[in-house]
Amino acid sequence: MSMSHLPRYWSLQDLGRVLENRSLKSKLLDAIKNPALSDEERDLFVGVVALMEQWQVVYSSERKAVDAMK
Amino acid sequence: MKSLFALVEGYLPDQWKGFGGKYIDKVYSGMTPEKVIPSYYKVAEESLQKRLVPKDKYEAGYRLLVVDLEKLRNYRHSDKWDEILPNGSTTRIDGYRYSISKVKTKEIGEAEYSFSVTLSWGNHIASREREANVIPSDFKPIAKAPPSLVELTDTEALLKKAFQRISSLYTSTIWSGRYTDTQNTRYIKNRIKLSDVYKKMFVYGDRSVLPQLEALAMELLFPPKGEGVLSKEVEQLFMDWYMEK
Repeated sequence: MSMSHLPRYWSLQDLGRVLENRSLKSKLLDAIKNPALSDEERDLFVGVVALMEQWQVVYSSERKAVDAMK
Repeated sequence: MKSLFALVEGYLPDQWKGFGGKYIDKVYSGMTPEKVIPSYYKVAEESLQKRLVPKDKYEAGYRLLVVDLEKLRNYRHSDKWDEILPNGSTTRIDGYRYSISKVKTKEIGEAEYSFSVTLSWGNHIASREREANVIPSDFKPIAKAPPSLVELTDTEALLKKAFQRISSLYTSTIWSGRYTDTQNTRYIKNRIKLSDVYKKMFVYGDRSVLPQLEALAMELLFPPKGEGVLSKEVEQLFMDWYMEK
């Protein structure tokens, strides 16, 4: 997976906006720990965190490349 | 037992003929179908119409037709979702008699189906009207999605479940009545795209589409800024949905 897989109108900044949204990620992580959560809800939150982590790898690598060019 | 049913949006009475699947998006489940659907299908009650049809479209004459696919399937005693149902299921709306002449369904993922309906109307179909009480009471429907052909890694299994939930979340977004028609169209298109790619990956095992699926899911969950007004709203919807639980 690479940035080329992102939708055309998604920029590196767009990706960063989501991945660096600590509030969102911490809410998701809190939600996963909530024992009252249904299996379906847990599936969603765990999956979304997994999705964000997949993209985090791409984002970090792209950021390094961009920073190196500065 | 939950009924699977669909909300079919269309303009009455002149523009429904042959609209195919244009406005059809989702087979809902568990929305108190006994109250909403006393027969195979009906025009949704006024309050439901007002809640689900965007105001401008409602005022322009758009209405929802509720189709109970489970009952239609019961009627045919069929186990196949892709079976084309017979002519003759009729209803009367504003003096017009309508017939559902074809219902065709297609599985697009576990517990998800797309389908198309063709309507026609006119007095000539009156003789084909069927009775609702031919449905066998012991029928147990609910088609199962085909077994996955793919051995999944742990991460892929996680993502698979997430994609299913994201798809459901977006369907509820589409029908929440809080977005404009243009925004809903975008949601519907993206959700259908997600379903198509999902099937390629998880039903047919085409792993090459996984990055596309991941990107699409990210876009659906977090639309970028500058791409309409959805970004914050969707994020908020996601969190509202969580907080309500």
